[in-house]
Amino acid sequence: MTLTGFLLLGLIYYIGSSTSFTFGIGYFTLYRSVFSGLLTGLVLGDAMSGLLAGAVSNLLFIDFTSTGGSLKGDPCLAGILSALLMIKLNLMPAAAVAIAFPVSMLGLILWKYRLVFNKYFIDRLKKEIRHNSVSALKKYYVYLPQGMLLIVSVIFAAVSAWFIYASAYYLILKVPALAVVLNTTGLILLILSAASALLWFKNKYNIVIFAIAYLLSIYFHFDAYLVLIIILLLSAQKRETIKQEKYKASEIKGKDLIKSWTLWMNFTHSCYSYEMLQGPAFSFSMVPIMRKLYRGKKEERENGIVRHLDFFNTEPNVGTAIHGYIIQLEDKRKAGHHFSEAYISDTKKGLMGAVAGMGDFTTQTVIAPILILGMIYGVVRQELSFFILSAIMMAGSVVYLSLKGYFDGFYYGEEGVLRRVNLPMEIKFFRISHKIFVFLLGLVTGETIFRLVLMIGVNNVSGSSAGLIFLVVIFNYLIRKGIKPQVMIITIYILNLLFLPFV
Amino acid sequence: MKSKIFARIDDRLIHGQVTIRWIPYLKADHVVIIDNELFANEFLKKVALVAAPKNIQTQILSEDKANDIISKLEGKILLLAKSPIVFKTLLVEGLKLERIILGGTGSRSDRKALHKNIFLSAEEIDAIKTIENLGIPVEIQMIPEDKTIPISKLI
Repeated sequence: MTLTGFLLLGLIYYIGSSTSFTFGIGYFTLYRSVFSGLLTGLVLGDAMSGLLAGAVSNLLFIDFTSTGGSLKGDPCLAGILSALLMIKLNLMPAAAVAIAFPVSMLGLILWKYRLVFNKYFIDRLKKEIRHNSVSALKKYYVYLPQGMLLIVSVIFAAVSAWFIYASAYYLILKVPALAVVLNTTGLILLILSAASALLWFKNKYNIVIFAIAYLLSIYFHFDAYLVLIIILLLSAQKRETIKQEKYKASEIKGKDLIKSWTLWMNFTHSCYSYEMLQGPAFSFSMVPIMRKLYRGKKEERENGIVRHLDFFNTEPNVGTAIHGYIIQLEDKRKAGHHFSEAYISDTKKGLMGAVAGMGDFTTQTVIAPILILGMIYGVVRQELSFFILSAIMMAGSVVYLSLKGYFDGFYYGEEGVLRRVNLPMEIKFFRISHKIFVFLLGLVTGETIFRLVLMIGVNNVSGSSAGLIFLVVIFNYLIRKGIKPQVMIITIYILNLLFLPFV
Repeated sequence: MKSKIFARIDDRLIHGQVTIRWIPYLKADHVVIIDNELFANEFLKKVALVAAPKNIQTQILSEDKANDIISKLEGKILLLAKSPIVFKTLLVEGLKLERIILGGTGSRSDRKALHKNIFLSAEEIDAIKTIENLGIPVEIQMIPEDKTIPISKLI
């Protein structure tokens, strides 16, 4: 591995974990192990291995969510490291994941640094925004924090990758049996992760649904597209059209909404801080709106942008109905309605929490887990078209939901917002989505375990894979009894390493 | 009357951290939002009620009616308000609480930074001191997995 190689891995980490410049799609794709593994594979000249290592690693993060600045692990770094170890050290994917997983937790430190250190830029932004709002936002909200993040994350990920590569290389050279033991460790971690993800949604039959799907996949190997067709049939539902008359805008046009949407989607997290969270992004997204509303009136335009620099946080994709609605209020205000600045600000804040709760549910616990399972499924079944299709559907949902939110909020006001919040209740698919998730998790875990066991080269692949279902049941029971998954992870590592002398 | 009452202070009232993390963690039976502004705004009220999880009961109350109604509820109750001042008033009027979780109070011109996502005004800090003097712990904790930080260490 050359220095350039490590720096390129660092660059992949920046692209994935920044989540900026990707129209909001990056967080659900490039940030996930399956994509960071693929990109790492491309850099190292073995895309297929990278993709497989990334997919296996991603299964450990299948219940990954983030809410208001709190994260569980770092799937992006885990994917990069897993792919690197699998390709460069010729490890089995599960062994690579077993090494990469604990090290990737270092990524959480960097995330904390971002939130704390960004305060510096936000403080400058608050001072400078009064002189020239647009240039202050560009400089202190986008260029400087992203430039800094680029440097820090490239160095951080390159050093982590080099360190893990060098130490794993050395250790496995000294103790070759380690590769075998870690492969088992990785397999058991996958089982534990599935057992724990089953508890994400409460339903006493989860384990039964999971076991059926798991065994079905091992013995019958469903065609991936069959599963997709079933899901599409289940989710097909036409929503009633809004009966209310469209709002007749005085100044703002669809083009302006799209400009605002572009700024919002690309920069929601470009300088995320505890103090403001997505506040500056909201202010930034108001730039094209205020420019349109207050052409030639510098003072009012500047005031409009500055007063939207305020604490704000919501689910970035589904939450866009708020933006649309607030823009409608601003448009009406310009046309002579007497909304006070405080009223607009209070409405914005009153909506953000409620919409975020529903939005996080929609994207982070329904759409993303199901489609990411689809991506993993495509990889382990070696049906790349399925991986690509799932990724396109993921990207499409983000763009569709966020853009539609902007337009519904703007043209249908309160009705548009309410309709957005009602989304999970009106769409029947959301009511059964958790069961579908559990079933898919069973299928994908089954296929993954089958593939990994096949790679080891045991005699009875189906029998060995099927037997592991008992481990899922035991782990699931232990977690329900209150044993912390963290404790179980450490125990798994220790118990496995104890076997080292016997391999 | 068997009830166990938890309270959370958060500008965003009901949102992701509350619906996805806290409600399942506390196994809450009721969620009660106490906020005069929200109570008076029909549109925002509708949005908040729709956004609340379906498997538990959610109500939005004004401060003056809150104690009466809360005292009639049974089971585990999670109260949500935007500021500690609300809870100070309710406690002085006789509300009984297990603990108060300080989840997130964003920056405002009259608030100063105390911790990551915790910004409080002088009046709010006074309210917290009164609450702590009543023997009720006020602790910073964004999500259940986080360590609690007693606010008394910071004010």
